[in-house]
Amino acid sequence: MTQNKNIAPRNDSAAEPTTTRPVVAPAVDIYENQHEYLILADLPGVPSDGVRIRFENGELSLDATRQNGETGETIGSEIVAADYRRLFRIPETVDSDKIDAKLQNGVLHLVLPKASKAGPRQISVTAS
Amino acid sequence: MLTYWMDVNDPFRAFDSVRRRMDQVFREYDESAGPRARLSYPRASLRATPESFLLTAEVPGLGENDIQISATMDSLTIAGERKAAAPEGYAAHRQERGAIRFARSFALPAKIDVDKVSASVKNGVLTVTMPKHPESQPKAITVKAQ
Repeated sequence: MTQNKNIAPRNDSAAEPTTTRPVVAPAVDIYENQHEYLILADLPGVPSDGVRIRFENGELSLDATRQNGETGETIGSEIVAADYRRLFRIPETVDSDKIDAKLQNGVLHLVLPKASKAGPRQISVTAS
Repeated sequence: MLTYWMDVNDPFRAFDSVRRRMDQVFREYDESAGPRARLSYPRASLRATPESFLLTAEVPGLGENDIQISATMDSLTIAGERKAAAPEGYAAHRQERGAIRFARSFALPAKIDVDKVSASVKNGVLTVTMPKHPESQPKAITVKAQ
């Protein structure tokens, strides 16, 4: 009889993994100014073609795959060969066609420009 | 200590002191084991090939000028600083990637050739290659039949 002792507690909100590679949520910063939202995410070990960003139904999903280039015999390791995944709910005011991403030193810079109609508008008061 | 226990005016003072000590124990435990444990930043792994040791460390956001490395025959120290990345003119909704200053030393299992240590940083991962000292490289020994 075989017994699997590594049954993980079921998490309703997460997709079921089909590989043994763990999936972790990267640390992110979220900023906002008048013109855009800016998301910074730590993705160490991910090459620029390993990042997939999808925008669908008001949700932005960030998936990234780490490169595995391990040689030699491991003496000690704290680094898990994991993939990164994180979801963001994006307000409708974002112009999804102009989302821009760049990867620099293992940090992803994701710029979500606000649609022009959502920008602040100055309303002048005229004296009658 | 004796006067402490004999303090008739405040018999609960001893409990106070015990509680404070327990709080401290838990606080220390938390900081060393929590997910945000700063004591072991950056996360690293050490591997060995027949010729050299390879240390990799996750240092997202750090460039070549932000990391200092020093090596002795049997230890390696990496130090660095990530400055607060908060861009100007933005309001912050969420900040999980704090500024951090770190220094971490690793004891190596064998002697290395200090002059030939090299390091590179790519995609936020630091790789330090430490060639083994000739003394610590294995030598093949032939067996003679007699």
